[in-house]
Amino acid sequence: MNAVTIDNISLSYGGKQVLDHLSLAIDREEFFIIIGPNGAGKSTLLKALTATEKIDSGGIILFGRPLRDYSRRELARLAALVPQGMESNFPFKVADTVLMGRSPHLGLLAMEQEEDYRIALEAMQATDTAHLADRTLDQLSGGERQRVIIARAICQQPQILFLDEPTAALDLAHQIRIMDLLETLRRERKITICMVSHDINLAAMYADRLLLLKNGRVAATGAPGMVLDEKLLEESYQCRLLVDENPVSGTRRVLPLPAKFSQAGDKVYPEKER
Amino acid sequence: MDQTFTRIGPRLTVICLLLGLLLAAALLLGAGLGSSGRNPLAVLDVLRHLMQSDTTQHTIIWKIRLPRVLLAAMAGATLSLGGLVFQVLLRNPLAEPYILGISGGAAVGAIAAMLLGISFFPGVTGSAFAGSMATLAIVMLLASGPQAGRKDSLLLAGVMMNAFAGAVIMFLISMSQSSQLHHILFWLMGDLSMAEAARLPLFALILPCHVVIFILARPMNVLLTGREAAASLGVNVRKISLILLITATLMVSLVVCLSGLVGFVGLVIPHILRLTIGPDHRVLVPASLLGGASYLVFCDLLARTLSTSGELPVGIITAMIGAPLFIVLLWRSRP
Amino acid sequence: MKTTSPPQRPAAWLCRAGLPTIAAVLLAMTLFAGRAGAEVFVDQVGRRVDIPAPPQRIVSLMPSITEIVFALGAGHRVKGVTLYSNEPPAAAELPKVGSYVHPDVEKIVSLKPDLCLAVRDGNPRHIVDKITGLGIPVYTIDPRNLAEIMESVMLLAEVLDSEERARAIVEQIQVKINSAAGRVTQAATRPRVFFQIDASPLVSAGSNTFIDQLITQAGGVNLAAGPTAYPRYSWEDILLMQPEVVIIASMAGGYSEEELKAAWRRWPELPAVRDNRLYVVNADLFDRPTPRLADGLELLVNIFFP
Repeated sequence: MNAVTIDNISLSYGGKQVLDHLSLAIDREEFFIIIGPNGAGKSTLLKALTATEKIDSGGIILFGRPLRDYSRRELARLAALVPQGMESNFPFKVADTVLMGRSPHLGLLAMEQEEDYRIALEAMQATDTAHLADRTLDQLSGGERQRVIIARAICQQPQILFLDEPTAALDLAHQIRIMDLLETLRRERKITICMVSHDINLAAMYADRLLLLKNGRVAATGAPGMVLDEKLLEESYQCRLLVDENPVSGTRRVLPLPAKFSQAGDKVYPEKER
Repeated sequence: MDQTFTRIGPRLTVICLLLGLLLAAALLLGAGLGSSGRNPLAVLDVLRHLMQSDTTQHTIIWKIRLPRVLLAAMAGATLSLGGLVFQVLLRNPLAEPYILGISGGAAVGAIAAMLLGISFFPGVTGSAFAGSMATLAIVMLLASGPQAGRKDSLLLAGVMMNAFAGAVIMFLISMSQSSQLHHILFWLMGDLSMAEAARLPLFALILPCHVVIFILARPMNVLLTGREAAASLGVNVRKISLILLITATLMVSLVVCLSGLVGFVGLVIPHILRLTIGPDHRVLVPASLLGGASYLVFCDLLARTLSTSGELPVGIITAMIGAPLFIVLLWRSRP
Repeated sequence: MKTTSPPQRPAAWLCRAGLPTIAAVLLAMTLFAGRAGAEVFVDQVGRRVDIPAPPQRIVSLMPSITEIVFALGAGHRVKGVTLYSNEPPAAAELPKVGSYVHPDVEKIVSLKPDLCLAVRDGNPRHIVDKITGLGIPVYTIDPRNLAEIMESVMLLAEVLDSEERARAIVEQIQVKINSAAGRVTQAATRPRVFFQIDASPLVSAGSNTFIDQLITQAGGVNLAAGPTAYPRYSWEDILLMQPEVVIIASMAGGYSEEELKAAWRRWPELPAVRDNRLYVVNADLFDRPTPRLADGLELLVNIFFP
């Protein structure tokens, strides 16, 4: 059984087709990364998968059961989302923020039990955030904050973790640290990872499979080596790229080329969409 | 037991106990003191006069002060809880119970009724309630449209409602005569002197609202982290937001139509409590109820006794004490 | 408690029925003189009020009532008054129970009154209801013109058991009214009068106010007559009205006498300014429903027909 099966879904906002008859499947324990140019529908797809956006047609099946049959709480026990940044208008402690991950498992008036505290503490240890427990979210750096949000997601004990550009706005070391953390979670906890990323090179090194999305449609899907084809990428992103091999990992390496080098090659891509 | 996490159970017990004692003291002082007696020892008389009837003191305590003290407690509790809810709903620390235009709608209704010379109860009260319910209907219309529950569109709609109502209020005031003006001004600044024992059964409509909000305390915590995050934590954001909006508006409207626009309680009490006991709503909700009730009972006591030539509108006292207190706490909470 | 019950008060009935003649009042007084114990009265708004006869602890809810009660010689029985009860000076020394629009009910109850006196046009109805609800009788008067003030004085005198004084007061008022009427009939013209009760904005008094009645009774034409009780005016309106006499209530808008007059002197084209007929008068003589209104009438007649 797949973790996620997407069958011919479509979604439009104000006349614009954002997802256009999209089908795909994500395996259990897979590290699945969605890439694509701005406006391709990556974030919308993630919203459709977490049921925060309603699809117009088609169907999504999550762990063998249609998504629309889940209640919010049931869904939250199965799938966790790491959104692109989190509001912190009011000063919750890191520990208490992580503990909120237990709420889908608790009744409205139920108090947390020792078991819940244990799970939250363990989630903090796994994400290396236990030492931040007494701070508030607004006192953290970007990387720390992202790890806290991942800790809260783990605390939900989900089977699948959705992430929306978790490495955006992080420095190089923190990018790697987050990706390594996700890889560990996948391996040790058997959590399926499905993330949206703009960083093709990181995606190439971690993903089992990539989805290249363009105009709400699947441009390509498969192993990174297959999807990261120079011609395919240049067509999708509408710019001149250098694609070669990473000598350490052996995966593809993608570098955008400034306009002044664009004339060097034999192909010129005009500055227009389609 | 390690201290990594805030343990809600013991914390809730301790804080409720402390604030409960504070409220009990406030109620006793409020019933014991008044314009006809400023001797604190008179508090003891309250108990002595429990049994005796037919004395002047008995009438004053049971028929004048007690309904008033109870109205102050209920209004304080409700406004403070209302402020807390709106701060969560709009994820804005400046939110207060009147922010969505409830105050404006109620004031237009109340002043119109006063100018028409209708009796205070049920005339002015009913008209104020109708005014605030009309406001709720408009806000709900906005909240259920395509902008469903977007906090900024709600906020803007509320600000506009209040601005429009403000213009209508000014128009009505400019049309009114001086004797009515005084009455209108008292209402606009909060007037607890309208308390009457016969109206206390209305509280039966307000108390269930408090219970509903207490039950939703955990989702309120989660809502504060943003709509998407809250949804992924199993909260039906739209449903919970609508329930909170309707419940809070309803209870605040009920209080406003009995007490006028008592200001500042709903803004300052939730903030003071959040600064002192932390942001968890499972503690903040009961603490706001008890803290807001105590605060307004104390303020009303001052409003009744400070001046020897008639009482002051309680809204003046709530702001005069609340604003400096809040600033001091904010200052001291700086890291 | 023994209760005699003459619930129909012919005085109130006759006057309301359009026969506000002092003769009828005096007749009624003589018919119902002499009584004891508690009694049921019907006040000027038609409420039945149980009052101990005669009441010994009175709280007056209006400066004008305080004035009347003192004039009736019952000042020593007044135990509490509202703010601004400054006439007579002795009244100002009494315990205050707040303003007349917003009285402090607790304070009232603590004074243990056996009677509260209210005016319909000033004391809010819910306050009266509340005091009544606490078991304190409230007797309300509702005078709307000089004749009804005389009636109110007589009614209050009945309640307070001081008819002698009342008759003297009413006779004095009647003398002043008669003398005014005499002078008005002799006058050849009727001056056009603007009565300023407030500055910035300029406010005057329309029909159905004491001021309008006094101006008319004193032989003047009230330029502000009309359905609005207290209409507002701009200087443009005033220039069109061309008032011949301007009466200015003292302390209008908080300005001094000189400032108030100076504002008018900017417009020499007005007959009142040209002829120097600007008069500042004590506002208390015109806006309080008390026997002093007759003094106001006398004052106006002297101004209009010097």
